[in-house]
Formats: sequence, structure tokens, C-alpha cells
Amino acid sequence: MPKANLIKQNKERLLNFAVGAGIPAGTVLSGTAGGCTGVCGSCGGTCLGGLALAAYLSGRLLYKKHFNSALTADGTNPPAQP
Amino acid sequence: MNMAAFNKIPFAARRAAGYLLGFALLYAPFELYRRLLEALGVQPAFLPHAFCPRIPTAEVFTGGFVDLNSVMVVSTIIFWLLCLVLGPFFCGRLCIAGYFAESLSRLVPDKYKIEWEKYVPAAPIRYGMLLAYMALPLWYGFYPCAYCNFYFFDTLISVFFGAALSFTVPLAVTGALYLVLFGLFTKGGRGYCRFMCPQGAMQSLFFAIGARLRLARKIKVADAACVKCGLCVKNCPMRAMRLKENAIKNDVNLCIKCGVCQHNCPRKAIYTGR
Repeated sequence: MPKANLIKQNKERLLNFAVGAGIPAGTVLSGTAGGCTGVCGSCGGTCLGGLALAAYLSGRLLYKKHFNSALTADGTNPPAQP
Repeated sequence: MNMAAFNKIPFAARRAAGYLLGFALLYAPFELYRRLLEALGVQPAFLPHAFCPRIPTAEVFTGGFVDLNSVMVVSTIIFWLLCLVLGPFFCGRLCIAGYFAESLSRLVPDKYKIEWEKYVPAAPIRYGMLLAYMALPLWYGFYPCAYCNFYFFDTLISVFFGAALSFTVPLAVTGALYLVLFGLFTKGGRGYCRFMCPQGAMQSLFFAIGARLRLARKIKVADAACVKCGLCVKNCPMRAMRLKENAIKNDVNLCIKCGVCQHNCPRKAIYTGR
């Protein structure tokens, strides 16, 4: 019996929804609203949300690959390595 | 031109023509949409593209929608209605920014690309971003456009036509995400569209509502004809096609109705319908 597809669980959906909402919110919470002058640091980190998203996604990818717990999107286990 | 003659044009050429039309409508040096608005005596409210239904939609929540000019209000309402029925037609047929990243991803062999959907569900992230994009004007009184790939693409094109590059850090981050991580190194090349595009998320939301109301013309698969070859799954740039419980399913939250699955189906088992 295949394991439940972890990425389809409501807890996962909710977590990722919150992550998504946090990206643009982070741009305003982190500094002056829309105040990027192009000089890094002048705004308090307007671009950090995007970098955080990249870090989050890369972290998940590496974590799941490392622990081999990634499931294919149809809920089945990934093919066994030879 | 009749339909038979139209169908003889290669699919890739028809698709590219649609995106080139989108380019001519929205981007410099053509900007036909803006010119049309100006010809109608309307000063576009939203520059640089004049066309951004996300902002008028956010104005519904702030109360500013009624203050928009009538052309903007009417065109936004028409846009919503079209999305309810046709889905994200703008993404699938006209958005050159998404198509550019998709085309760029073909430069990298598949073995170096990431299939994000195995690790992270894309739809919740893009809907979360959409919610924040809609809610922030209420809170802060401005529209956060830090991660707008339209703006990035517009800047890129402007530079190509001789403008000076106005380099900013968010622009560089957007470019790196849009073209490199989510473009070159993402299967399908539309990682930005799948994770970050609020414009696409808004259209998908209307499409999903339309699907619930049985108004939407969704991508459907004739199970009797389908041989589960998986070509539609493999070629879908948005990864909206899935092999699930021995049947091909289409996710309305991701599908942009680009027609790639239909074109690649060897049994012509994929069609649009309610």
C-alpha cells in the first residue's frame, strides 16, 4: 500500500500557503514600503522575501532528497535506486 | 483564414505568434494596448504595462475600484469573466514573460532540472502570495511589486532597445529566481508562474471558481482513448497534468490552457469541455 502523499496533506498546504503569503508581506515588513533604492541594505531588506523563498524551496528539496522521503505527486514512492 | 488552413500552421508557430502578439500589446517599443487606451482618451492608470488586472482587483478590497476610469473597470470585469470561462488565457496564450522562461529552460538538459512538485506543493504557495498581494494594499496602501517578472522583463527589453539599466537588488533577485532557478533549472521552465506569479494565481482562482460553477472550459481527458503514455504529463510546462490512480488528471489551479498537452497527445484524447 503506497504511503500517503505528504505534500498533499492539509498541514503541508497550510504551511506552504503561509510561506507564500509571507514572501510579499516580508518585503514591506522588512523595511520601508517599496523603498528600495537599489543600494543593498538601504531599505532594510526588501528583497529578502524572494531569497527566503529560494532558500525554503532549496532546503526542502535537499532535505527530502537527503532523507529519500520525497514521493511522486501521484502519491507513490519514487523508483528504487539501482 | 478558415480553421483547416489555421490548423496546418505548426503548433509551435501558432503558440509563438500568440506570445509575440502579447509582446506587441504590452511591451516597448510597441505597447499597442497603452496606445489604444491613449487613442480612447484614457490615461493608463498602471504603468509600465498599463495592463495589470491584479491591481484593479486589489482595488476592489481597498474601495478604489469605483475611482478607476471606466475603460479600466470594464476591461477588468471582462477579464474576470473570461477567466471564469476560459481560465488563465493570458498566461497560456499571451504572456511572453512566462513563455520566455519556458523557452529558456530548453537550453538545459532535463537531468539538471528540478521537478519541484515532488517536494513542494506549488498551488498553496502561489495562492498564499496572491492573498498577501491583495491584502497588503489595505494595510500599507501600496501595491508591492518587488517580484514582478513583467517589470523585470520590461526592463530587460528596454535595455535591449537602448535604455539604461536601472539595476536594483530586488530586480536582480527577481531575475535570478525567474530566469535561473525557476527558469533554466526547473522542469517546464515556468517555476516563476507556478510559485510566484500573482497575476497567474488570480486567473487560476477565477478558473477554479468557474470550474466549481461548471462554467469553465477545462482540459479533460477521454479515459477510453487515453493510453497513459504520459506525454502530456512530461510536456506540460506548468506540471498541471498528473497520472493519478491510473488516470490522467488536470489541476485547474495550475493549468494555463496553453494547449501543449492536447498537441502532444498521440491519441487526441485531450479536449476542452465543461
